[in-house]
Amino acid sequence: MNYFKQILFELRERPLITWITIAGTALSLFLLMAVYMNDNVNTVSTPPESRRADIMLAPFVHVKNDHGESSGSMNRNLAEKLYTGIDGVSSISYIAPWSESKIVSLDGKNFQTLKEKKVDAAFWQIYDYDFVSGSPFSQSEVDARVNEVILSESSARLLGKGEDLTGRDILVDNVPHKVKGIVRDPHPLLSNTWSEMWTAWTEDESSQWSDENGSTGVIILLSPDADPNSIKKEVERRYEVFNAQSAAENKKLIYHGSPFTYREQTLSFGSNTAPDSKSANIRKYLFYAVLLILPAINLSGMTRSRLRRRISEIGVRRAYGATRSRIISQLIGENFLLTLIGGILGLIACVIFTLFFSNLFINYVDVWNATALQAAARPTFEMLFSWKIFFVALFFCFILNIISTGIPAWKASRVNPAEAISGKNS
Amino acid sequence: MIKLEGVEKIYRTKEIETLALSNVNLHIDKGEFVSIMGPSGCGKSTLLNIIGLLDNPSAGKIEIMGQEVENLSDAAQADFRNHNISFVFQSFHLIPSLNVAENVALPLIYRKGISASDRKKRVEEVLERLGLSHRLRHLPAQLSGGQCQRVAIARALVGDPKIILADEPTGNLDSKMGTEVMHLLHELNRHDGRTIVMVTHNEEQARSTDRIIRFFDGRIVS
Ligand SMILES: Nc1ncnc2c1ncn2[C@@H]1O[C@H](COP(=O)(O)OP(=O)(O)OP(=O)(O)O)[C@@H](O)[C@H]1O
Ligand SMILES: [Mg+2]
Repeated sequence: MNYFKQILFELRERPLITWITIAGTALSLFLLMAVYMNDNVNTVSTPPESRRADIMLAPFVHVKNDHGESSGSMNRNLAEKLYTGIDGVSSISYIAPWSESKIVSLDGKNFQTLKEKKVDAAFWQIYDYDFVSGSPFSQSEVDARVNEVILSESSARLLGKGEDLTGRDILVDNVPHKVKGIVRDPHPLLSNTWSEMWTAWTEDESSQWSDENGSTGVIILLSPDADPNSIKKEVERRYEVFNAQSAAENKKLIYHGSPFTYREQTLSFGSNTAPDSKSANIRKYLFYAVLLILPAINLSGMTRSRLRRRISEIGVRRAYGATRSRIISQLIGENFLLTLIGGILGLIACVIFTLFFSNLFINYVDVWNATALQAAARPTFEMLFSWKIFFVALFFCFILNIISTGIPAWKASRVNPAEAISGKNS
Repeated sequence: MIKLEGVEKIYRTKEIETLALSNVNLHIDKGEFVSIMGPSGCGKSTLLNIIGLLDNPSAGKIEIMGQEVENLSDAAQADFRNHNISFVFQSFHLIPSLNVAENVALPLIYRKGISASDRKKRVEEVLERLGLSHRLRHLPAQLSGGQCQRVAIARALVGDPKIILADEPTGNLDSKMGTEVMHLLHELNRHDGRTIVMVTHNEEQARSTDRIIRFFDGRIVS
């Protein structure tokens, strides 16, 4: 309460430096949170990717043999050998990790080009799509290679022009497919789930171009208490078993740390290298440290000059019995409130900016493979803001305050009370 | 009550050393009202600061209320000041962001074991005694100099200290206000029995006290 009064007082008496302090804090929180939130967009859990924290992805395999090296999506048989039946996995989906464009029409006249994802039945269990009508396909349908498709709501509208397409046949590249269900459009930034249509699919021999390479990628849903690292260990062990068995053929799989968490997947990498999350983390923390320390140094200059005007006050408080630590905690408390005001302003500005203007500066998706819709997409409020974000911002404010106020407050508490009161120290 | 033996204070700056106090020996009894006089720069404020534990002597012994205080830790000195000593300054030194009641409450804020309601009661009592009850919510900037000094005296009183140290308490006041403040100090001395040490340049004020200590160049001359 008294902290708040002190700040109101300073806003009244010394508006310029106080507002500059608040604005400086707001700006640094803005920058910090812009970086953090945009990083977070790739890993935040949001439907239909609500279980991102428990999902691991294995899109590739890297093979080395007498003919050379090849890396890319897996042969289904190899994928099963490496990933099926691992302890701690509650669901596993075999999909084609690439999207294709298909020519689709309802009546053979109105043709539309739609992005297609090829998926199996488990895919619909791992991701929580919102079905407007119909249902996901079953594994028996997938295994029987029934021609079935699920449409996004906007694709269904485009094709059906108002008619309900559920249960109807549509032409996909001139082959009739039954519409099994319709789902609400996923957000375009969710590149693992976003598509315009999903066809029931399982790899056949025509798309296997070696014993190891094919067109399959793996998505794994972990059991609630499973540890991603132990999954990785098991997969690595299976790589070793495979290599031991293939040594005679001089064939070798090179392990790059799969399956990957969402966080690892966002670190851009190719099919033949490991995502270097360790150095990416170091880089990230260094970046945050710089973003924290530079403004903190600035703010500490301002704190010092604000405190200089209060030296005689500090002397009087000391004279009447305040200990040094009491003075320090009071000054840090007051300044934390100030930092908090600036921090909240900065956070609000950051959310607004990212919500409305971020696509002018930031590409959230791989622009080379993205559709225009994806490339222009901005995150939603839910993807940007959460209590977690709020507490991260609070934490940044706290650190900022400790760095910027700690030393000036400590120094102010050390002044000799007699000199502070007489003003000899200022 | 206050006993100084061989107290010396040297200020050292980069260029010069100033001997502000040299071999000061002084006894002040309980309930005495003592004034200190002397030319500017002779060390009066320095002496008061050392008695008030606001500064440490370079040498010598200080005993206050039977306790040797010059070697106490910082926190112990703070606690000792809080309970036993209070201050009245020439330029009042009220805290500008706090209102009258909050300024007066300051010594009690730093005292352990006093409840908020107790604090409020004692602040109101003291302000009542000094005729400031109607100014509770005023900020220092909204008061006259004389009112400010009365608030400062209320602050010096609220913790019920045995010793009051006043450094030119009337220095910034006109003569009417100055007389009023002197009246107050005398009352605190006679009625409450508090020991008061006051620095003044005013011969008449000094003569109204029990004893005058004259200072010259860091020494007591009479
Ligand atoms: N913090 C300090 N650093 C260096 N020298 C100081 C300091 N404080 C006081 N002095 C010096 O010590 C001497 C005594 O100062 P002091 O303030 O005690 O004088 P005073 O008698 O109170 O004077 P006045 O009547 O003007 O208030 C002076 O020469 C002063 O310059
Ligand atoms: Mg003086």
